Amino acid sequence: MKFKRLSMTLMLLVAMMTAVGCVSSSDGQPKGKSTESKAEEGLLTMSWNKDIGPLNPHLYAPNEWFAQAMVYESLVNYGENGKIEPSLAESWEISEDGKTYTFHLRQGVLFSDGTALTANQVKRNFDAVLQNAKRHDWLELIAEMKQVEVVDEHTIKIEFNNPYYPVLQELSLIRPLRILGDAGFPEDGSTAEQIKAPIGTGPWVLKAYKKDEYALFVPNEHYWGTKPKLKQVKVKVIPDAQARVMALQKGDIDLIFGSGQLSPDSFKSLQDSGNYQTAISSSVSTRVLAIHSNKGATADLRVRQALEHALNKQLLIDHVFYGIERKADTLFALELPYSNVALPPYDYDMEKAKQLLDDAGWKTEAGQAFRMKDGESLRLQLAYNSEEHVQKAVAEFMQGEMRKLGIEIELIGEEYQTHVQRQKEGSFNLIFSETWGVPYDPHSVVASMREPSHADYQAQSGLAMKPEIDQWITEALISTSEARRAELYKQLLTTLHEQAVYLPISFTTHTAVYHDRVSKVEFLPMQYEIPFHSIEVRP
Amino acid sequence: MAGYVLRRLIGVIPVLAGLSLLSFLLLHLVPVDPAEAALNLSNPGASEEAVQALREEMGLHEPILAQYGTWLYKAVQLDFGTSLVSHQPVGQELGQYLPATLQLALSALLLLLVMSLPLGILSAVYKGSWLDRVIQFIVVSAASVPSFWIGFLLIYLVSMQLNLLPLMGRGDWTHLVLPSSTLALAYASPLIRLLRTGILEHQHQPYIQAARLRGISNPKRMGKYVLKSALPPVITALGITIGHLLAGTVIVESVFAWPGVGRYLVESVANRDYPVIQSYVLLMGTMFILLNLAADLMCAALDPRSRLKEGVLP
Amino acid sequence: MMRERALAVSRSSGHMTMAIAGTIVVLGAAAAIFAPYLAPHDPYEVDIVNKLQGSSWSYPLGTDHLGRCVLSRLLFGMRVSLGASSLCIALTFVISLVLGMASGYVGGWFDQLLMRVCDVLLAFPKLILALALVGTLGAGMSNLILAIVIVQWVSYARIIRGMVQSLKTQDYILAARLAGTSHARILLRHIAPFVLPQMVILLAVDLGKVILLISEFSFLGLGVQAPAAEWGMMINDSRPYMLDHPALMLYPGLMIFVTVMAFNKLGDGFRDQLDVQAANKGRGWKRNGSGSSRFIRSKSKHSALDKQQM
Repeated sequence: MKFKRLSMTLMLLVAMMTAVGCVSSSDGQPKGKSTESKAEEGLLTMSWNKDIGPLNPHLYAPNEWFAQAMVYESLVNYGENGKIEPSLAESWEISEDGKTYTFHLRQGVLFSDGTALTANQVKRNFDAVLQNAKRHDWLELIAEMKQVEVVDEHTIKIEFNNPYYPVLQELSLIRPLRILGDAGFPEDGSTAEQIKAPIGTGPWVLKAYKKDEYALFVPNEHYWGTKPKLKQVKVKVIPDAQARVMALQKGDIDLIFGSGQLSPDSFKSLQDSGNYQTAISSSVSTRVLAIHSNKGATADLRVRQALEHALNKQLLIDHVFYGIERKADTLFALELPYSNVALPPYDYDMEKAKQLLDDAGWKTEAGQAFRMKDGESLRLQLAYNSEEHVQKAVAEFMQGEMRKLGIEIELIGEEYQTHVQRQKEGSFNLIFSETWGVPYDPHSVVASMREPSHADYQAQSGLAMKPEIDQWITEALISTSEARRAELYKQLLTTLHEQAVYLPISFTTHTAVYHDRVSKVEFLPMQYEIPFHSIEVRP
Repeated sequence: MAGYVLRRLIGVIPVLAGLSLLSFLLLHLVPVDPAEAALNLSNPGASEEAVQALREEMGLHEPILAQYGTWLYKAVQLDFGTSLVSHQPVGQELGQYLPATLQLALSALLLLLVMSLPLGILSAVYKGSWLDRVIQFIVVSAASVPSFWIGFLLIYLVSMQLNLLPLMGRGDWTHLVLPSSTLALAYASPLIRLLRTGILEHQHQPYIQAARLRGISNPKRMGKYVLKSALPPVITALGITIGHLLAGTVIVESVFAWPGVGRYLVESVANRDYPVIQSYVLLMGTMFILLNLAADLMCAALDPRSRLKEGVLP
Repeated sequence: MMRERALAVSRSSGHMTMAIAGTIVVLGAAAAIFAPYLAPHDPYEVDIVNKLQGSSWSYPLGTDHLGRCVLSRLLFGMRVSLGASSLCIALTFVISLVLGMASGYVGGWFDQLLMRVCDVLLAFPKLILALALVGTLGAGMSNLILAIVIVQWVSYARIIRGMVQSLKTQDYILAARLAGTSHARILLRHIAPFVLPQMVILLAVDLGKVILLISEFSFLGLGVQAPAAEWGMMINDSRPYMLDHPALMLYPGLMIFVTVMAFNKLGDGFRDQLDVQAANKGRGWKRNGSGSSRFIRSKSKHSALDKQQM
């Protein structure tokens, strides 16, 4: 009798567990050919380190750039060598004073839900972004935008406060000024928090999505431009860098693309294996350490200069980057607009670094591991984004190297959000930063140097000439004289270099590793886009 | 029985209240002002007035007990506040990740049962033999090994070298094998031990000896009498174990990139997303208490003696 | 008869295991203390040109991703693991002893309050509570130790309270009270001597678990911070190189395994001996109600589940 009850209870328990197990395993994942369906025609599977996000075209993280660029388009495109090309706008005119832009929209463009693109819809998008202007204060374009006016169904006029020169470049950005369809707007018309559905005019449509697991894109059948060759793009979320490599080796994915998606060690090992196609892009941005000029020991120019001299970049390039990234000595690559300014690089020179530290009063003392001044030990905080393998490697190298110099480096590895937070707050001595690549470099980057919520502002905040710096920037952005602008840029870049608030490390590149069945993987001018339109796959 | 159930149910209430108080107070351990923490993430360098306004809005100026009341009132309605990082309701986010964690924990539990029942019984039946020693060795080893390391070893051997199973992430059932084995292995040894001691203790009870004298065959004696008496403590332990399995997912999910609440917690800790940490503690604590309660009630149903342990009868 | 012989055999093999485990622990402690003299290199010396080298005469276990000597780092890791876990255990010991004795001896509302706190703290897995504490206080070794102590003290305090409560009603204590002995003296002279040895063993048994816990937190990046050498963190650091350099992951894992195993074996052995002692003394104790060994045993059952709590 009792035994029966026992077995009944046990059976019930097992039944319950199986039931729950079934329920929880049956959610998501479409039945049948769920995961690796290599045989599926035209399917490209790519890994990405994080979820693509809610696909809100007007917001930033956690929205992923490449995914926003797949679904949404802007008025103009940033083409090869910085040439601005027509996109949703077929043509445009700029007024004499440089303050009014009139765009003629392409006829017959449809959103992925079949509705037509109109000037009204464009204005609605711009207005939604302007409503949330505070969120976009880093972008000078938004601050300069006075009003948006619908001229007729396919013409739109934008007025600006000043003759801001990089208008078209900034209109081509992936965010925040791309166009969302009517059905994507929430009831209250504000996209500041969320959108209803990701409906755009771009070449791709999100077909299936499971947060933190995968996203499946298929071509937009209403797309006005050349349709992509691929039939499906599956983006698998694989947060761990090593797991991405192994997934590629096992054939779970076809392609790893981008910056920071692969560690240099992994790239080299995959390349050396000879089993994969590999590619390295030209330089896209500058990897720098911002040095806080108003915090602790780094408030002293001599300490900042000592740091510049103490880093053996060549060793880093050879043994950490394996030449995948080039050595950088300036904040911006010389080939960028207004950036070709002759600046004497800070060469690797340990003796000079020691001398500078001695001069600054940081002396080595017997029995002390690190340099001391007024009874305090020389300790600097170096913050990095723990998701970026390269930053960690460079930070650890730096820690080891500076130890030889008598500087204690405290490493602070944090996830992206917290890392950005720290940049904004300025609670660092040294922090990793990257310029933004084209089309942002150099103007958007220098514009943001005036914003207190940026690492650059924080780093520069201790400089005596910070007010002048901000004035030069403002003038350079709206000056109508090309020569004056060049002069201001030169003044700015020279001062920043001399004041040693940036420690340039390398010029970042994108890497791609893929299986032989994949072809036509090329690098696009805008660093965050992935060339899905050109990629082809063999079955 | 009804009286016992009622007593146990009432007994849970103060513990739940204490748990909620503890989770509530966690947020007040934070080195910075919660309003400032919340504001800094969206708008650093905010003015003193803005911080004050948010403090008002968050009710931080009220007496702490009133704050607790409001918080609890909301929490009971499953409103756990908003994540400082994603600006999404925490309840909703936890809800999104919970199924993956439950799936992992439950499949680990099944594996755990499949693993530990036979091992526990075998090692008791063949006590002192080489088989027992081997099992004992496994038990001690499993208790001494860090689960994340075992996870990596499994990934390296099974996934990478032998190419048998998927590496990481969530997908079909094959994705479940490695993480749930890792998790099950980490918690198998106490269960095996408990079963072994339980059986050994009961083997020499007079009624078992009597059964032996009556000529009841060995397997039957084992199944019907010994196992049955040895089971209740194991069930109690199982109740606790499910809770621990859920907790252990924190590590295993990080190793296998399993998109569950555990990894969400670790991320939130790194991002200092306090409302999430707070809600996670509340959620896991509640689940743990309820699972223990369920196990106790089940034991009571199986074995009336255990109802007396509450000390009502001498 | 047969059983007794089996017991004897298992006891002698038990002595053997204990001897081995003891040796490992002593060697480990020695390695930790003399790490600076034993280590062939400075464990923090970065030499990027020689990174990811295999084993050689100069680097017996090779170098890591920054060219640091793996053997030296393992030795220094012993320091962190043993040092931090001993500190945890010592702090837990003091706190649980004071609170447990007070609660058991004084009783009343203080006892009630403390037990309710215990109920709540024991209501969920220790790993979760410790994570939540480190999460709110911030990552780092001192916060981690604090969190571990906060989650650890409860179960010990409970056991001590139980022991004190039962000792309190013993005839000789009552007699001492009647003779006018002060409370402090009773606690120190008549109660502490019974409680202390048991506690020392219990805590020693748990040292291995604390080592595991610390390594888990360091693995999650919440414990020791770089460049300190800690085994859990070394495993985490070796992740990106797992495919080409699996040994980097293997060594620190083995170190944790062997150390924790030695402590666990040692703990099991101590507990068994305690049981045997109690069994020998058993008669005398049982007449008086309950003996401390009962608490130990009930704790040992509980502690079978303890690994999970961590």
